[in-house]
Amino acid sequence: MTKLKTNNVSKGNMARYIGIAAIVAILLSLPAWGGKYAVMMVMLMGIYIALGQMWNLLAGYSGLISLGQQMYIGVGAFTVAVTSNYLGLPLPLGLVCGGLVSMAIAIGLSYLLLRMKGMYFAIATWMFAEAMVLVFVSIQFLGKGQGLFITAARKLQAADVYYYSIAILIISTVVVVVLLRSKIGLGLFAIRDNDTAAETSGVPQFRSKLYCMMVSSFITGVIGGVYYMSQVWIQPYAAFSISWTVAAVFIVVIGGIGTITGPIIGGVIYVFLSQYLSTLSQIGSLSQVILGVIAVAVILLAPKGIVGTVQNRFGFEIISVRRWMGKYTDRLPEPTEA
Amino acid sequence: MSTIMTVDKIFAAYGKFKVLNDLSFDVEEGQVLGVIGPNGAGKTTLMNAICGLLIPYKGRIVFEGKDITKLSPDARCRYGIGRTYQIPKPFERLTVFENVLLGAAYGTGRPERASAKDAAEILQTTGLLALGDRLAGSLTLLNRKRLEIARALATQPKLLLLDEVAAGLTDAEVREVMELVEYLKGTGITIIWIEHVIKTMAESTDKLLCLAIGTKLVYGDPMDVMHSKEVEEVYLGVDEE
Repeated sequence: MTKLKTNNVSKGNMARYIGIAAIVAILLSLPAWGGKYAVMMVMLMGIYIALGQMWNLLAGYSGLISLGQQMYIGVGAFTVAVTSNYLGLPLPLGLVCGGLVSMAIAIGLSYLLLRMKGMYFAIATWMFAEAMVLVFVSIQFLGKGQGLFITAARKLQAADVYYYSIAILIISTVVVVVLLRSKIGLGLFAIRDNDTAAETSGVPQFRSKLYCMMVSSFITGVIGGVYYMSQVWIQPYAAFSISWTVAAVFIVVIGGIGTITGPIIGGVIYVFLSQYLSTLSQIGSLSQVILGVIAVAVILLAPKGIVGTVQNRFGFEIISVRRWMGKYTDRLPEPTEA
Repeated sequence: MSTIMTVDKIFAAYGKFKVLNDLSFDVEEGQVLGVIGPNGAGKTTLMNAICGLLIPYKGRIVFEGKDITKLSPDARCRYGIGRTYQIPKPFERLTVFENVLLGAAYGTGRPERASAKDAAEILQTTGLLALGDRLAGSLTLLNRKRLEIARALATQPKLLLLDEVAAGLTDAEVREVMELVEYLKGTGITIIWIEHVIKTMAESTDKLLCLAIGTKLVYGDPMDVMHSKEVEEVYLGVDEE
């Protein structure tokens, strides 16, 4: 049984905001003083943390376990390539287009996907993602199996992509916090815990889940665009690979599902581990095996992930989306009976 | 008294398994209608049909003059139909306060902030205020039952469906829940109340409806219904002489 911390939250707020501001300042100034390798690492962390936040929004807060996030990565990346190569649009506009196309696909699929729950939803999202890559590799102007170069991205400096990555990191985290602190967020929590009771308590289930999918698909699409701007070349089988979702699951599970800071910690660990392990071993896939073993160990030893376990131990959340009762009970009349 | 809801010749089934067969009755505004019946009579199915979890394949349900037969559960909740579950369904990873806040905000269509004070007040009337910031998953059965009522009450129902609020509780706990039900009756909310154990509620209902195999067996004043031959038969079996 957990007794959660109730009031005096405001006292710690100042320190928290200063801490967050300091981290943001360090992130924004990094290219000025950091090495090339550090910039690349943090750039990857930004991308993977944002990816984790978006999977966590679906799975950790709304009970929608998606195995199809790679669909939005691929669509977002290809949209950036098509809009900049063929239509001559600037890259930032291409990123927004990538988000919008991903969102449009999510809206279209939602009418089928949101009729399914749990494992059925998971399998269906994966199936659609697999179908999507088959469509993409059969279209001539998308380069068939060869994929496309984002020509305009060749001129980008490492620092340019870095700032896109930091922007998407901050935006994804802020959007999740704002969404979850809104009434929609409360409804999503309820659906996650018990969808029947949520419906009979007035929560419009389809609409709430749809909002959630729209946000997640838009931002994941932008993430795909940013990542492939750093890579310049989009290889369709890699862009639509399930390994994107596997990474997101790893990040969220070891960081702490259903927490805001979980994907942040998980993303940092994931990037360090995957970089270190890929330089360590000659066999490329060995790093995947080790990541898998770590995930299994965390699930067995600390099923709530690193952040979830620490929060339970100390009854403290760094970024909380809880609604505490404290400020409303002060104004209540004294109870009439003991 | 005017009629708040009319159930008009409804038939409902889970797949091919027919549960409600040609069931009709009226509910008067402000009335407490008890529903009894042996296992499998269709009591909870009736609740599901009224709150929208199961759509009858034939017949109509009219609530406040509006045909709600095909409306979604969330829309019905906003129209003023609240319900509790026999096996409580709390939002376990939310706090008790958040559970009730959800009902108060979504059930009435108000913004969250505007519903918070109501939610806290309902926690007070239902005796859950001290547990407001606890996770709902940590509650005892009695408090889970209280939370069911609190959450339903927060949606500001005109019609409240109580599904076996006393089931699974000790005698002492049943008395505590009954106090809460007495309070609900005092508020003037129309109540449809299912109970498997008749004696728990027989005295405090205005009318009693006995279901058997998905249809109306007897309907009338509680004492008349309880002592009717039909009710004795379905509960005790036919006396073979």
